[in-house]
Amino acid sequence: MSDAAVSPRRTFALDGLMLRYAVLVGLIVIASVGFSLANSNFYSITNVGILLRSISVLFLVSMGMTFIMLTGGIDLSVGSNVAFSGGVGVVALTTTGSATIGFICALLAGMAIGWVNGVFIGRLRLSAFMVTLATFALARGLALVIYDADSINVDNAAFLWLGGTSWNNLPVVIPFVALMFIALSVLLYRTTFGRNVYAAGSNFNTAFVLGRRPERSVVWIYVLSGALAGLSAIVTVGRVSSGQPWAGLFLEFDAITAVILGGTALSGGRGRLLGTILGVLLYGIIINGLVLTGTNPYLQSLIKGMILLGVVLLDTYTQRGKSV
Amino acid sequence: MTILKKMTATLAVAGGLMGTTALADEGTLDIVFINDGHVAPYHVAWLSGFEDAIAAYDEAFSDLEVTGRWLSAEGSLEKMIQQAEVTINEKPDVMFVNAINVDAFEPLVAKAQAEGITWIAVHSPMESADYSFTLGDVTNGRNQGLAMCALSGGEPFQVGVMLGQAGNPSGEARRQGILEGISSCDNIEVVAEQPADWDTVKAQSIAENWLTQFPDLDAISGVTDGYMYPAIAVAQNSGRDDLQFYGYDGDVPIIQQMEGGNVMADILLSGTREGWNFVQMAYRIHKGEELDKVYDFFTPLVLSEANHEKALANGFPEDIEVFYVDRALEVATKGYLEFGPDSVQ
Amino acid sequence: MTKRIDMKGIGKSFFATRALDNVDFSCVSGEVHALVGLNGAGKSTLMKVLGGVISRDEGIIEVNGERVEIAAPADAGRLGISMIHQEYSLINELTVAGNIFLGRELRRNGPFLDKSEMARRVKQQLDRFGLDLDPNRPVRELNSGEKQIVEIIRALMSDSWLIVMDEPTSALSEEDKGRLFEFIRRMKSEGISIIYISHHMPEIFGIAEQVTVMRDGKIVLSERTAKTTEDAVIKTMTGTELDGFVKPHKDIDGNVTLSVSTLTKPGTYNDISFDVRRGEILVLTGLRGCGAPEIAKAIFGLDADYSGTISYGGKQLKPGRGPAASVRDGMGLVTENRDKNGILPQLSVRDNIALPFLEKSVRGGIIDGKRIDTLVNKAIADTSTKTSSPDQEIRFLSGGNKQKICFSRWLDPDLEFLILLEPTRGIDVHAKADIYRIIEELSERGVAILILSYEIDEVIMLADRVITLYQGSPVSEYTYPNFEKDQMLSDMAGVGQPH
Repeated sequence: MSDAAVSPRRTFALDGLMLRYAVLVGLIVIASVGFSLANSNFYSITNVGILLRSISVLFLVSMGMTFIMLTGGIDLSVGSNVAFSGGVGVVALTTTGSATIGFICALLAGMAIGWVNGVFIGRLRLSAFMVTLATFALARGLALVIYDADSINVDNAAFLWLGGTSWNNLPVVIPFVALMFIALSVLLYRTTFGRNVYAAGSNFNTAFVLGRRPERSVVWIYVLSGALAGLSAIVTVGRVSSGQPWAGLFLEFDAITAVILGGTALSGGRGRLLGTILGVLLYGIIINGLVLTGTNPYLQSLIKGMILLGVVLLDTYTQRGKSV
Repeated sequence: MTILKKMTATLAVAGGLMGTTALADEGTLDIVFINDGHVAPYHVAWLSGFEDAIAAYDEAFSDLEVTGRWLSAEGSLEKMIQQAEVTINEKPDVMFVNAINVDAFEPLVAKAQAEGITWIAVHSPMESADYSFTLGDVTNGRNQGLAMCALSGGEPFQVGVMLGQAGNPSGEARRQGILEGISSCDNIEVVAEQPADWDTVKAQSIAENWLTQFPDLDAISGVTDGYMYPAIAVAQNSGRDDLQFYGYDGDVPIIQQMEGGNVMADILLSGTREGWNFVQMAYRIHKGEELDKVYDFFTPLVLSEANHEKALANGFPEDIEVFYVDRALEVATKGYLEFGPDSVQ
Repeated sequence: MTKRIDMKGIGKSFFATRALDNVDFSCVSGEVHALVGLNGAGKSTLMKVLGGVISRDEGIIEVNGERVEIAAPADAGRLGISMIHQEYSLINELTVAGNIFLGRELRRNGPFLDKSEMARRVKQQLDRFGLDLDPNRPVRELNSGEKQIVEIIRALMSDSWLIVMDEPTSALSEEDKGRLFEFIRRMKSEGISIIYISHHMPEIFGIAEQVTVMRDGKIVLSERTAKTTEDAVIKTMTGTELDGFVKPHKDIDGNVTLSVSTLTKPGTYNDISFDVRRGEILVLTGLRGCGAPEIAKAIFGLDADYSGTISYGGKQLKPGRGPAASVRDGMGLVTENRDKNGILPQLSVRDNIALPFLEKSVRGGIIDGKRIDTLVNKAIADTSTKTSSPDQEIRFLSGGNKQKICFSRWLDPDLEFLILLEPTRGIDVHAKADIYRIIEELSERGVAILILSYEIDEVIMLADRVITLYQGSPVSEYTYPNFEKDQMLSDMAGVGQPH
């Protein structure tokens, strides 16, 4: 094959993700303008705060989901894990009275579920879909057992701080999510761990032959996703001032939706955290806007589905266009 | 109104005509109803009753523009809190909130009140709310239990009670009432109590288990009519034509099985009625009427006329208000009969 | 009635590469026509044109003198042309008869399948060719030879008269080979025509009437087998293809880096022993199935299932220790299948190069991007890889450049031993010269190199020492400069081995 045929493709290749981000930004602008025309309240500072806070948990789990989907995997257990690790945290808090112990227990519980996922998927090479479908049920069951199927009210101010406190109109969770984004970006782009994430997802065999131990990386990636579920649990408890056995219901689907919107390839190896952030933002704006405009909930699901399908179609179209 | 019609209506709104925001003028009444779900049959009836009532009140009073919308948290507390936050920011006049967990809403109630919004806690009462719209679950449950006592015929009688989700306050109150009512006579034995989590599929397997486990079972009682559909079907399929059913909710198809069927008693909630009652209540508050802080939804017991006579003969209290089947069916689907604009003019 | 197919003046280019150049090829019913040539000579491309899998740029195809169009595999099927693939396209859960009638099942009344009639017809065909196989057996119970027979019967029962077999014996046992050859003889007598692609001289001269040799997309020899010899075919297969590279002279007197002793994996390789010294290039060669890739796997720690010992730097290696340990000890591997396990397709050229030695560029837990850039830019320059930028996704590069990147990963100064499996497979001539130069530079630096190559010219050009293998056993050993090309080819092709 000649090298001459190669160079023009380069621009296309870069355009792949960039085009997606441009489309997302475009959709975000269109949605924002549309909603603000329909409801002048959309751009109020309060509403922006409400919007960002409402998607803060989705931001956290979607970033974990991005790592996982970069390896070609999927984590259906995150939503259940939020309920489970929240339950462990709240019970630890109420028995010991120490917010610190509560935090640590919630994080460890989340990581434990992630570790189980990781060992089955990374070491034993079972299908991620299958394994996390099992832990999806398992973690929810554990949560119901821990909570005895009932919610537990929490009034420990320190424990509620992260999810519940606002500085004027700025919920503290928003800068926290921003910090996590920076930290996870450094982890993904500037460390060997991050490179191994991409390597495992792009070609597990090659990564293995090159001595990158992808089987080990995968375990840690699921542990990371579990830890983010644990953090999300703390934020959720703070937000609803209570531990809920049904917390995080369908969260995994929202997260997968956001990650796919953000251009991460389902087959792995391709995608960036920025895309996920844009995906979550678009998703959040649409949900918020639909509430603001009083759109019928029967219609909301329809609209969400159409947006996802539309973006994915557009993507397929542009991808096909250039691989000819 | 069918779901499809609703969707078309909303499409028209979503299509760019979305100008429904409250302008807090004198002549407007904006009502928002945040519910925990929107797909269960009771929810569907409830929400459409609410929508129909909004339209009827808007039409009936030419000096007042009545607007309203409902939101569904789809079972998620996180989502419900977000919806409440967004709604408060919109400053409607009245908010009905069917909170999944009332404690989580305390800060929001304060915020809403600071904005001058009337907060009405639905089903689970809240001290801080302006009003609590309650169902009288304990009383209703007790009425169901008393009816069972009066209709059981004095012989040893076994009943299984299907409960709501563990820890759900409304379900717990209904359970408490039913057991209180049953305990007023000593021939009834509660052989099983099991939560079916408001889930018809779970109710079906529970009913199947009970019929094999307790061959002498005489009746199934439930805290919602949602359980009655599978229970009746399971009984019919296993040839248990003698099994009695005691429902709760006033679903039309269940009441319809009272004459000549085995449904003995029901509690007439009816989602449609409740939706209409919301709008009537909001209107009355708007007009400056003083209502009870804890407002009990009027939920009569439904019996067939024959059974009511039989029950009275067996010592059923005469002061308990009873609707007969025809009346119950009429008001169940036509909320305006009791709560329409005519009721406040 | 005899039939014949003629392909005339066929031409096909991929980008700037001329894959087929004015090729004339014909086949007559009742004959086996052997098609031979080195890898990349154009055999597969020609057969893909015949099968309608790829389109030709020029030329015509005639059946019995009438011009036909083959634009899709379905057209080939209609004309009675069938390809038997090395990867079997059978459904394991169906029976032999079920597979053969797949998609054109016989029905009794209504929707019900007439299984007994289908089995009867298959049985009839099997008997006709003297084959003993139960039509009602599920395909999953069959061995490779039997599966191949099912494929051929399927082709015959859909009225094929021309059957293309691509290296049909590569996965077969001796017994199955015998059965296949008998089957082929019977087919010939029934008027079936067979195009037989193979490297095995004994097979070709055992069953083929006509042999055609391709080289660089052209026909270089087409002759009756009775009128030519194994040696003549071997000679025409090769030709000098490379001018851009001359092997420099060097002395090999360093320490032994790797030592393999009596390495055996039953059915794969037998009693393999050799040493590789610092700076030495040892080439293992043979035909496909000679066992060399499996030996490499054992050395790199990917396979624990062998007997014998492997020592590296004087220490015996634990079987199946995994590639991470091998890389840590200074071993590298360039795999034979770039796209399957050589590259990370969606990742950038930079990531693909930097990956194995990433830890060396980490400062305080964070990757030092500048250092990586320096290394990567040097690697790209040293290997003259053509890429628009290190950010380029590797999947958009040409095969040769992908392969250079697979090499440039291992340019790290700590590398001591490098295994190369088919280092120039599917690569154009210019990239080949670059790759040979990289290999020589590495060996001059003292890296011990073990190469598996099936291309004789490459073997001779690169090797300091050559070991030929036939079916897993060592045949002979040659030391630079005493390479006798024809003798090597004979050793590899099993010349002198029983037909």
